[in-house]
Amino acid sequence: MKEDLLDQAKLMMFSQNYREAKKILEKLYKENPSDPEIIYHFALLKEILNAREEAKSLYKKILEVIPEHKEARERLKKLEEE
Amino acid sequence: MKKEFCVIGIGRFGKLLVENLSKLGARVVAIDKEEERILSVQDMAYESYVMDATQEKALDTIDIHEFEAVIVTISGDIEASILTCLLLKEKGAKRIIARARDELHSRILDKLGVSKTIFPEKEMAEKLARHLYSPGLFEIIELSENYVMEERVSLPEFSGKTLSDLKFRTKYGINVIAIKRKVPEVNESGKTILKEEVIIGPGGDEEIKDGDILFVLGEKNKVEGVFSK
Repeated sequence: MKEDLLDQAKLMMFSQNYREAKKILEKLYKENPSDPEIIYHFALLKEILNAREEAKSLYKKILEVIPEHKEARERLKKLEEE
Repeated sequence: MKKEFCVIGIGRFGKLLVENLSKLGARVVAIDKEEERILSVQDMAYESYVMDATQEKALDTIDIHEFEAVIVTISGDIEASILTCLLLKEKGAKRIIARARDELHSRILDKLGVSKTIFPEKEMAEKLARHLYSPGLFEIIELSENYVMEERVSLPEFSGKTLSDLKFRTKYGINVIAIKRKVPEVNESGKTILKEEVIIGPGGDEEIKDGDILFVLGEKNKVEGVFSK
């Protein structure tokens, strides 16, 4: 169920239907606040929507749990440089 | 030939100027009467001299008229700033850009024939104030007193509409000259990542997406009017 919904959110993101992706990811994040894969996609979406500070804190949240998360580290670095 | 500039006064602002001009590939000559300050830019500047620019004989050792522009960043000591600009003018400097402490200082520099006076702190404060007041604003380039090129986060009501639908030029009197956005893609490890896209000179059929950054060109008040609704 969780995986299906995340796949659906990704599909919405890739088809640039960000409003729909946001609805799904908000629900998923609320129900699974510690799932790194959900947090990561939610952070990406926040970044796309220019909510930079929120994106940064979500990337930091992932890195607290998985310090070796390469993609989250790269995104955070990029955002801090912008 | 590389552009040559001379920066007189290597305080914090002067140092940044030397650093940035050098990064852009310009040849920069740095002058200050304090040796310590000159040492701090020695690696960045093309040439650097410990010299009191208010002393005519000292200035005579440099071919002032050969620089593209001479930038006088001294503002704390108004007398030194005025004397330096006067001497530079007499020595045939092509273009003098001088930092002013206040309006009166600026007016005196104007009378001396300085090409442009700048107020970095005032300009930065104005920019910061505008940025804080309009959080969706990233960058402003003032093209003239009334015209600007600004980077603005698109508004939610623009999303899903094309530039033709939105009629920026006819309805609001502004032009969208580029769009910057982040789009998801999959990397070689199968992970979702973001790629930055910049569309220069977007066509009328270009659709605005949530989170797009629009580069708009137009009169200051018209741009402000659209984005501060």
